[in-house]
Amino acid sequence: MEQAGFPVVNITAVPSVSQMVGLSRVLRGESVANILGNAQLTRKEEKNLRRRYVLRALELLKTGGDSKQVFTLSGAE
Amino acid sequence: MMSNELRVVHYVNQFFGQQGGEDMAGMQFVVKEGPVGPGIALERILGARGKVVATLICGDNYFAENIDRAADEGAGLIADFKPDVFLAGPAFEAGRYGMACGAVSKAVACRFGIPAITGMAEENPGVELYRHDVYIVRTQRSALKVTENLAAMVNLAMKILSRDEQSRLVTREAIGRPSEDGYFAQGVIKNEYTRKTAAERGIDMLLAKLGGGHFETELPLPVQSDLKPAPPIEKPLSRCEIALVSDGGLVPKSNPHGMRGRGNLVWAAYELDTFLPNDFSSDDYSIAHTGYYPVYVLEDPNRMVPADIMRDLEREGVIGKLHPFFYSTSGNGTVRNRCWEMGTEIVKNLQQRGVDGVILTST
Amino acid sequence: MRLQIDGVRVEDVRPGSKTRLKGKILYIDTCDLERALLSDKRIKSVKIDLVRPGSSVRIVNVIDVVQPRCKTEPEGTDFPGWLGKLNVAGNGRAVCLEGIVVTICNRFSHRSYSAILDMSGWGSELSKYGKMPHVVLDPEPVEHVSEREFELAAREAGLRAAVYLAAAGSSKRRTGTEIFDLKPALGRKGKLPRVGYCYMLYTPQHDYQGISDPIFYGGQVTEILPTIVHPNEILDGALVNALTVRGMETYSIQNHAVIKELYKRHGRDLVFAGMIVYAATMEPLRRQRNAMIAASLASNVLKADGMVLTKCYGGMPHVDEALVAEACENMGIKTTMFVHLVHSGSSLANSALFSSPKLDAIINVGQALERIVLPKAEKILGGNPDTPIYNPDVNQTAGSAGLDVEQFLLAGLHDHLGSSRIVAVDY
Repeated sequence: MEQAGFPVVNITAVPSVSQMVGLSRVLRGESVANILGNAQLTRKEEKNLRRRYVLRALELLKTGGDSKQVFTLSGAE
Repeated sequence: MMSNELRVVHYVNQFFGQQGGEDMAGMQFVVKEGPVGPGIALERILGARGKVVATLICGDNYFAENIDRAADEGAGLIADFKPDVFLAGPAFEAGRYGMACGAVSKAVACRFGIPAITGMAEENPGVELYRHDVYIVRTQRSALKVTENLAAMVNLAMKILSRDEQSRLVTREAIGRPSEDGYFAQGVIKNEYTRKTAAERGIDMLLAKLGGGHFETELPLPVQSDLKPAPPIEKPLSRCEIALVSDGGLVPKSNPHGMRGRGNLVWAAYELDTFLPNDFSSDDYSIAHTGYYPVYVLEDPNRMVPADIMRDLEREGVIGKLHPFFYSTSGNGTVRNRCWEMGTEIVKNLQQRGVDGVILTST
Repeated sequence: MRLQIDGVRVEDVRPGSKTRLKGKILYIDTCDLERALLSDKRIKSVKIDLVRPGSSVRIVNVIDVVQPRCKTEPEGTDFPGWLGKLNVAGNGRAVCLEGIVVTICNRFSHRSYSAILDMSGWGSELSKYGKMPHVVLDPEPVEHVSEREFELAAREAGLRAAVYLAAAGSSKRRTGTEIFDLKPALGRKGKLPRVGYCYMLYTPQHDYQGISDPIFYGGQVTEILPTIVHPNEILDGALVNALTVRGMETYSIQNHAVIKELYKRHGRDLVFAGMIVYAATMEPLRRQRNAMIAASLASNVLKADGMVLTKCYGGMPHVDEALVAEACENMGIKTTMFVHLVHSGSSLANSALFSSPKLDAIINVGQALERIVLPKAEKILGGNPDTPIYNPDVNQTAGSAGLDVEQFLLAGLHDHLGSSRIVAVDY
């Protein structure tokens, strides 16, 4: 999809694999079985968390990204 | 003919089939009994082991016009000869001939379940297209060593058909490594038996590495990808259409597109409004992905496909539009090439709709 | 810590009026054994079969294969956390019946797949267990025992049977002895490299119903921090397999090939510096934290020059393992990693889930999903001819002719812990 000119943000709990493939907008998610969720939060808190992730992803779509970095909710690793 | 002599059918193009040169490249299939052209050398090589019972000849252009149809047609024409082995070419570096050899060999192998072997030079486009399906013996570019090439093809055929070979493969298939038997790697991974246990090999290897000695890894590393990122979205998000894609295997309960939990090859587009409405029911979904336990995502699929948030943002005007389709696939042990292909196929849909960016959620 | 395992060779199992070992034949009073197993109130009954290699038998619904072992010193400390009271394993003496195994079936579990074992034909040639006599346990639950509870009961029954049988050999003359003692390597000219072992115990990604299987001293390991454990503990029953056979069984752990090989070379080619255990995780931050802590333990506590790493079945655990290895390499520790392939096709280079150039010494233990087609078996144990046998593409049952299975489900063929003689190669 990137090669075809569509900027992609990949939200993943195994970011090293995405980096290996050469992606530049890799956003670290929560957990393999629950990528944009957190079973320890209330429904409302979880939805807020998910909203933060999506907004962060949208933000990254407007940047050039960096294939050497994995991005996080608050910045980068 | 002795009953244990192999029945070999040989495919050649119009030139090697002695029908003519380029002028005859448009000729249709012709079947001749016995060997023709290089088939004569082939029969000599076979000796007591077999006979070329028929030669299938076709013009390179006729074949190239509709490769799959021609391959099927050719395969159908040889059924009556009850072949034990099918040999095609060799095609050396001739492109159209190579494609024809590869295609007809593949069709024959599929239809009759017999070994189908051809030969090509590395440069031949037929190699990349058919090496996964057919044994392609490596030849040089010119026809200079055709006898040697045919001998290699025959040896490979004999090996595959042999039953008492002490195979080193766990599956007991009677085939040697590509470099040993002179064929192009087929892009499969097979288990071989080793003399030493993995533990012995491992500690040997570590000691060699520690001592600066020689060792050879059993897993070559991938070449780091040099993918150039797509340019960032310039216009404000409030005027953008964003699409959701996921490789976590989220599908409707009945898994209508037959996505596989492992080694999956398909993707599907689901209309978000009906697939994942705000008032979804967990009972309506399956996860076609055996690499993680699906409990959380089935409880709330938005945890993997954040349609709920995207709808909120669309309503609030933060984004212009949520792309109406969600593209789902399952990426557990899927071959790299197919992943690339699926991305390319999905792109066609994105292009049609003028999507500006993608959020891809993985496990 | 000094562990002495007294091996007693057994070549046949037969029913008998009393459980005893006579020469190389183990006579088993199966009623007495069943009685012993019924001390667990979750179990209603146990069908016990004694099976010899060569019989046309297929054992299905296999959840584990265990080697009969019984601690003679200190007594009553077998499989701590499961059977006896909690006691650190790895010290003292144990008797081991070599050449036979206990195979536990659980036909009441609804996990998507379980292992099979063939006692004749090609399947028996492929597996190391196919040439041994088996004591096959097929238990049945008491009413109202949950699926999960019964899985644990079945596992315990297997361990209990293993101890019961080995006890018959405790006063017999041993046919071989192994001693595991990490005494300092003395009197060697030149310095031997210190080699440690980093052991991935578990991955939670396949957890059935989302619950981790207890495996270490009877407990789960999903939340543990990387920590130091003495290798003897692994050899002596501190660790059992998860409740699904995936290229590894409790037998593989009891006979841990990497640990035994390190012991074999201890004082000769290397100093076995010790062992770190950890678990793979689904959380990216924890994965990095584990890697960092494990590497720190390797460097600062084990003072290792080199580390061997193994993993358990799964794709994601390669990433965990690679991160640990990379962290070690970054601290100047050289590593060798054991991996396996889970691809149905493609090439080796295309299959790696990591790419750091420092990970240049990799052992691969084989392609777990390669398929084999097994001949029809006359008798089915642990199930019946209609028991479905897992295949992602084909519906088939235990009684099918031409049973098409992925190799990781044939118990005793593959081994993540290094005992197999298999490597996956590009073709």
